[in-house]
Amino acid sequence: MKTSFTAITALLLVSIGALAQKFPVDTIYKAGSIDNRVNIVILGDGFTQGELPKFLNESKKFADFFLSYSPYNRYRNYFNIFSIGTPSKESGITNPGTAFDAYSDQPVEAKDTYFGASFGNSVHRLVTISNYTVLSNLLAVNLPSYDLVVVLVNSPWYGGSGGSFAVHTLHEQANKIGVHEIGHTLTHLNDEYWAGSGYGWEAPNMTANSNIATIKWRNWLNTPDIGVFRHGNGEASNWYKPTATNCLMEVLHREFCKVCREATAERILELVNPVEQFSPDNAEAVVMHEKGMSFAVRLLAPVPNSLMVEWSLGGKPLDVKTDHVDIPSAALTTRITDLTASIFDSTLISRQDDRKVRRTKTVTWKLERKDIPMNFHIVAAKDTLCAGESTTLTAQGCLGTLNWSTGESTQVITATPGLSTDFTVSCYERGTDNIHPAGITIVVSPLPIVSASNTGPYFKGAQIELKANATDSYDWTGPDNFKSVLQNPVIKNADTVNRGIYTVTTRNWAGCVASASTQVIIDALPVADNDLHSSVQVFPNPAKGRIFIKVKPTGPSNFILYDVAGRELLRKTFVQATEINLHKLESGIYVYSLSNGKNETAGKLLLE
Amino acid sequence: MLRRSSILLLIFCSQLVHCRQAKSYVRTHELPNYDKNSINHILFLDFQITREKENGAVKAELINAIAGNGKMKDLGSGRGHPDQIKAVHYFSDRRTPVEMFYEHPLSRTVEVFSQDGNLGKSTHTARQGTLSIRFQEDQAREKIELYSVTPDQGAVKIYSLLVKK
Ligand SMILES: [Zn+2]
Repeated sequence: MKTSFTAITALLLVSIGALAQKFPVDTIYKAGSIDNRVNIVILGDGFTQGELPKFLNESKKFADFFLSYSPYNRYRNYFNIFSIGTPSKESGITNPGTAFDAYSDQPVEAKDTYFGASFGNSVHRLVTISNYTVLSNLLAVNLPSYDLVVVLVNSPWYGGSGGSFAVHTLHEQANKIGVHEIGHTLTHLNDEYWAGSGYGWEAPNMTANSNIATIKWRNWLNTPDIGVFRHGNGEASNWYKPTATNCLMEVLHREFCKVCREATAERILELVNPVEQFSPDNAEAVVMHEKGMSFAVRLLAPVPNSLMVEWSLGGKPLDVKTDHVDIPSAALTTRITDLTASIFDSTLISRQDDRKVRRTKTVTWKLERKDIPMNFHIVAAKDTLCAGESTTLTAQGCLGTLNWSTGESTQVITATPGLSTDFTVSCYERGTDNIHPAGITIVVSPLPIVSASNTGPYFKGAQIELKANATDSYDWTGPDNFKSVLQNPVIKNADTVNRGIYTVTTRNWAGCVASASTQVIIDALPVADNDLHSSVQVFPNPAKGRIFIKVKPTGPSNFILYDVAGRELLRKTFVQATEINLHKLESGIYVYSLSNGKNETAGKLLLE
Repeated sequence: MLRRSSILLLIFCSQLVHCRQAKSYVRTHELPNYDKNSINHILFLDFQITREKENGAVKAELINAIAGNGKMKDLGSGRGHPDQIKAVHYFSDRRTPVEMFYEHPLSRTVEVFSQDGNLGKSTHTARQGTLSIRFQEDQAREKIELYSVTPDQGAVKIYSLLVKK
């Protein structure tokens, strides 16, 4: 197809001089350099020149609220909070008064304000701003490096909104809106209420995966209130959340749930480096003084301080946990020795599996003793491993470039050999034709094989039988502080506290550990309502493909079928008798509940 | 002192697509508040996004451009929206183009907070809105393209901005 173009040239004059004004940037909370902090800027709308002290005061109130909110309170030193007061011509903000939910005692008025904030036309408490270019100009000129924006609007009436930034009024409940919105913009948390069609996506606190062994928050499943909660029916039934009406991302009067806290702490630690500075500089090898030297890292400590510092010299750990170390010259026995400080935030807020590997920051100095000739070798953090484990290999003493048998050329490599392996590395000495070889063998032991199961699901009062299969030791843990070293432990008189995930760990001759888990389901339904139980028939049981249900009482009966993991599979409402086709289900044990009026009963169904 | 500055706007009107897509350029060094003494710069652009009639074509117009000093962290956009504006940044040094997603100004979703603590979403469709974008200046950036992305129409290019030094 042929397309013809005509070109018009136009000149667009952008006049912004009047708007892009410099304002004083008030520092409400300054913890450090803008580049290594999360920077929040608080703006105000509907405050006149005379009301700017009030705005500053409100900004401080919000900052205090934010910094005392868990887990931001622990990481308060990781944030800077600024405010920029911009005078509005009039005090207060526009209230169109047109929405169905407008407050009857709030005056309807139009106000000329800096960002044009207004209560909503159709949803009253939806307070938004409208002068976006004014906002861009203000931020570009006054605080271009901001990370998060909160706009406080000068109205005592409840309202606010979220989007790419948070807007809320001075109403005392409204500051939680800002914290909720920062959960979205900073940590990319999703809402834990069902926000409607199209709003399901993978986030730290939302997933389509309900498998307890692999779900994102699997490491929290043993703790109170955390589980695998379906978002709702229809499209929402495909999505799961970690808790129910128990998180700021679902309802404003709750704090963040443990999963959202973990994600928040991880996000802060992704953006802010706990190592602020170190000395001396490490760009070049540090030539050691005869009397020895001091090395130090300056750390940004959370409150309480969960940073762990480990030092190693020549790949061997030093017995030092402080932020500085003195190295005597005599401690160096080779020409070049590496000194490494590893810093890890061991906070219990996070249980992510790979947190230590992912988040450990290292600072390495090359210490040189000019009076010792070159000696090139490999140091392994561990030279015997269990299958699946990793170790770091460090090439020590090379003043030049490296070439590993793995193809890598960095000084430290991470190796995860499946079997025992020889690693080699060549050092091409700088300024010469010398090539120095070095090698090391890493021995790998296999993991033990283990499996776990139970004979459930159970009802209250039943006997739980846990079963493990391994060849060495057994070490069970589970809910309600359950512990056992038996192969097949038994728990008598099951109650709801006993439900959850039981994990068995086994250790073989080489010290390698493996574990397996099984979920114990205990139905909280009454064992049997005798009135109903005796008047219900679910047959045949065991069943092949279909079942028949007969209920004596009249009126509608509800039948719900669950799998052993407690997931609802189907439900049916009927009167007195029905037939249900189960051809699509796999053979196995299922649980049903049946209710009629206030009466309820439950049972197991075996499908062959 | 801030200088008044100009942005040259070239509009290529296709007779077939009825001026759907505008093309213009900015000279970063001439942007208001551009400080030649600073090493790092952050650029702010505001586009007016309009749709003249229901189901009509989405149009974009650059209405404001300004620079600031310093570095910014890329917080990314974690929130998905059914309707989005996609900005694609092209670089002269063979880097893969970088896509960034923004909420569509003509279909903004805002959270509604009830005083009892319950939350909900409210989607507001409009005929006109502002898209504000911010990014770190990069000597190799050549072009930014904007696409309107909606479930029914897919990605439709609405603007192309050449970035010159
Ligand atoms: Zn949560």
